[in-house]
Amino acid sequence: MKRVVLSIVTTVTGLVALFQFKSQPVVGSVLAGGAAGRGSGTVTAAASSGHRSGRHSSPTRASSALGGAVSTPYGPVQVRVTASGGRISSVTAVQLPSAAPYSQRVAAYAVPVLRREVMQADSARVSVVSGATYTSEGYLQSVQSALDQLQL
Amino acid sequence: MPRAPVRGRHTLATMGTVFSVELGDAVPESVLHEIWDRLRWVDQTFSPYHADSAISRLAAGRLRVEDCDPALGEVLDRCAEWQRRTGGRFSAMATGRLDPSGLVKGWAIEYADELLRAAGSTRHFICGGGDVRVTGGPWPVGIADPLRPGGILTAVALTDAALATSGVAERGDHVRNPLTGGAPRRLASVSVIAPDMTEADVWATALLADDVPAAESTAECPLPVLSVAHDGQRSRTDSWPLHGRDTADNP
Repeated sequence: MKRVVLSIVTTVTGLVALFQFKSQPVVGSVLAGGAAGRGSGTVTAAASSGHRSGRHSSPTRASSALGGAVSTPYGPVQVRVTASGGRISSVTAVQLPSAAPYSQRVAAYAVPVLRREVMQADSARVSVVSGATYTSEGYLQSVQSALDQLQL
Repeated sequence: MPRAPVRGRHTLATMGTVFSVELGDAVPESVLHEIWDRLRWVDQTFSPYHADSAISRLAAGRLRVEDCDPALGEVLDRCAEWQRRTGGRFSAMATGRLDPSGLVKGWAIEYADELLRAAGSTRHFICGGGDVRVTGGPWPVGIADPLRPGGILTAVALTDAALATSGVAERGDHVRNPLTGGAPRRLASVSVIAPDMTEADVWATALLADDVPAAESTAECPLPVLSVAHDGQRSRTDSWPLHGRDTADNP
């Protein structure tokens, strides 16, 4: 696994350097699932910024790059990284393993976003909250407080 | 001709909660209206709180399934199927009366997602009362802290996936274990990640009703699960996406 990890990290690190990304690049895992989910990957805390129509960053033409396909014990993994306004705006899995157990495959669709790093990344936002309270008022309060927290 | 394309965030209050749709790609405004119409129809048809809803009339024996919109039969069939798949932990009869609410919201959201994808959208999410379905991504999704109103427990970035959180703060009074009739006492919330909103919604409801921390659950749930107990203890399945520097106590 280590070689796999390094390979993907290298791809992203290159982009990070290119776009002068400010935060630590390694946050989550595109492999995810089981042991692979523990810090082996490359999705950044700023992965959210591209979806919020640039409230913080000035609109800049987006660039994207396809990483190399990397073999893992679960199958090939390949990601596309998009950067905009000097930040990584998204990391999309182009290929994910299909031979892994079901729960690991599902987990591969979700990567952790470290709360601390989400809060530090000044362009990061939690787009939406799961488990927000059931009434509309509570929902709005919860979303608002989430956004407030993340802007710290 | 469809009306002008729309994008960005749109909301609708229905089913006793708020639905929001975030459109990363522009879609015809007619698609958004179709989604809202569908959600209102689902509310009118399936709400156990409306005496005149089809589900209330069905429960009261004033209507036969054969005379209903085929969607009702489909929902009831799915409830039966999920009752089997959750080992009886999910049931449309959990509260003692016919109430498929635990499945309907996720099912309606999944339908809305299909409408958007059929309209060509590759980047959007739909959120209804804490259930979140994303297409494209990664979208950063926070999970509300059930013990700290307004606070966030953790966040995950989802791509083409669904995340449901069932919590007693939201609708605990309505969650009953179909096998025992009891309400959850130990767990404050359960979050489930799935490829499909219905699946996430049903399992979150079933596992909250089961009232067993995620890591100790004997339910044959094949999905990543995170639970939070009233004493603050967090528990997760091995498959729950976890950062290397996080600990089990702080997922």
